[in-house]
Amino acid sequence: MIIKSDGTGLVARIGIELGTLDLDAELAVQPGRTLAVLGPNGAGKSTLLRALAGLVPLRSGQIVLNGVVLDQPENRHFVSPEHRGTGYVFQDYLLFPHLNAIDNVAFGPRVRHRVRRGAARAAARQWLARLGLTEVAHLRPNALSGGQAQRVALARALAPDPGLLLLDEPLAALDAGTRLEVRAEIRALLPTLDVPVVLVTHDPVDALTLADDVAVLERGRVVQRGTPVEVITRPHTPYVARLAGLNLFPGTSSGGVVTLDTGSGGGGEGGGSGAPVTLLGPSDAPAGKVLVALRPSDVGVHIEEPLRAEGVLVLTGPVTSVEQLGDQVRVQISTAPVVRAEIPARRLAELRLVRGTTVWLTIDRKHVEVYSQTKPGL
Amino acid sequence: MTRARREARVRAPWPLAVPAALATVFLLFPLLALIIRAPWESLPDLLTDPSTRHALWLSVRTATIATAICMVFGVPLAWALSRASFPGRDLIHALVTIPLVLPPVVGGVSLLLVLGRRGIVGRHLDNWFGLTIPFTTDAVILAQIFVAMPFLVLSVEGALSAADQRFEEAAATLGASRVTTFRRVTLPMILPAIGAGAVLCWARALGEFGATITFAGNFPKTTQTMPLAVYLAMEVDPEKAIALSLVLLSVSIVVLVALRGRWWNSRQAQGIV
Repeated sequence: MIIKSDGTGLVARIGIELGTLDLDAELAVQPGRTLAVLGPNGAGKSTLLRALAGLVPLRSGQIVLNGVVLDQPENRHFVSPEHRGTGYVFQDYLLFPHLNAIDNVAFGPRVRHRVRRGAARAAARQWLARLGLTEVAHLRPNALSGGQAQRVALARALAPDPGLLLLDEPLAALDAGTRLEVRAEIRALLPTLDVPVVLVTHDPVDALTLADDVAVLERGRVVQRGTPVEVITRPHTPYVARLAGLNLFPGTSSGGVVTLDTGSGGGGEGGGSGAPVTLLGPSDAPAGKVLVALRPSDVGVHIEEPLRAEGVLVLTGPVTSVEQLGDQVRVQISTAPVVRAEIPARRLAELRLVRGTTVWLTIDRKHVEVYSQTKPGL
Repeated sequence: MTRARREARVRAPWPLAVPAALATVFLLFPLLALIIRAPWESLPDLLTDPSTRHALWLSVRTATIATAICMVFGVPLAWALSRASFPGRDLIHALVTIPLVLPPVVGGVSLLLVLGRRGIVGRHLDNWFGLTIPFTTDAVILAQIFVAMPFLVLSVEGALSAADQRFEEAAATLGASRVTTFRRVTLPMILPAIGAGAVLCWARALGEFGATITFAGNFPKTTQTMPLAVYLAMEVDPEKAIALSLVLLSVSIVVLVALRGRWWNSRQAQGIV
């Protein structure tokens, strides 16, 4: 039985409870576009992919691919994995150890389209050539390098013409050098595919370089979605802010003034004064609950109290950590709220900061990004 | 892994070394005795004797057929026990291992009760088809299947449980049905374990005595297999019994070499570490 629905591409609401995981995430991916699901370990990313492939049934929600319903528990409708036509690249590839590269790639065309061995091998050979693997076609998986195995896994997933491509941490198992190379190849390949692609990763570089859209998954929920640029410049959660390397302060905006929540629930070790910390937001700042994002390199650090100036927030507190990052030094200051600043190493030598040094920070309104704390919708 | 185990080896202290040495002597000395007392001069004659040839040929033939049948039915059973879900799976899992610990002669009696001329099923086979199983070569094979199948099932089931099932998931995403996945992914991956199980199964079938003599009797050419011939020869011609035993001993050694530790080293048995 085939249940039809409207729409092209992948439209899904994935509800699964599995052990401690409570997953409830909505996705929509148009053909030819790549969605990166970015999240920490244990957020439910792999379970989400397994549900799309039919390896785990949904508890609630539905999965619709190009108008065909693949899983809809309320109607007891479930299309088994072998009938879904999804290409799945597993994190550790799972190449069949008893088959050489070409027969691994030919496996899909043979079993899905029931073509003869010769025709399947010809199709496989084309995919291997396309991914630069002709020379390793007759090697078994244990004789392939990590990068080669990754590409064979990609070729194997694509050979049977899937209607949906799923990539589970495609670069995680590769060494740093190979990762750059394979990332570039995947970057070139994805736009040539006319199917929705869902890529799961905990590496923000993968999400930012490979995807057209990003959905951030934390503890089974999509906490933010948008283009890579939107996500990285306007993080909605501390996790994303950390990935983006930004300071993130929740606050309330009203009449152009933003009052920061001075973290009784956050850092804990506040400045103690209890006075509200406010700054003048940009003129277009939205009202209500907002988030303020700030690059650590835009924070001014001083060892004497600076002169007050219009539109500049001054905070003071002790240094709690000093950590070198290349020619920059990252300093964490226990102001209320806790701020991370980045200064050149030369400046550190001038300021002679150690743990406990009291410093003043200046934050200029023109450097902050103020945006609503909206719930992400599709 | 092998290296770690080797490094952990130490010189055995005497409270352990002495019993261990005695156990070794006890296990090996009788086998040595077979070789010491073997009638080496008359051996060629004894082994080319027609009754020996008949018994040997019957044993090899029945054990091979029994092993083939065990594989046809036992591998699917092992798959069902490790992969499928059905009511009473754990109970069935326990029951299929009973023949491992059951005295074979009890197995022979049970087979007679089912397939004997008056047996629960045998009665109808006799009435409707004129089929009589007991005391035929078919009975020899059935007795061997009964005692040997658990060896194959356990070996294969162990490998299936240890094998990474995600390879089967990968096959499913590529469009392979359960049967295709079993045939083209699972089966090749557990082939070493099937081989090990089959060798073990064959060795057990070859040595089968109790169930055979109860259910199939002891008729030269049709049901008198090597173990039965050894037992009979012991009463009339001990030298011949020794000669026949030597043959069975050499077969056992060949089997051990063929297994090369696969049975007791399950990681190796999978062949896919």
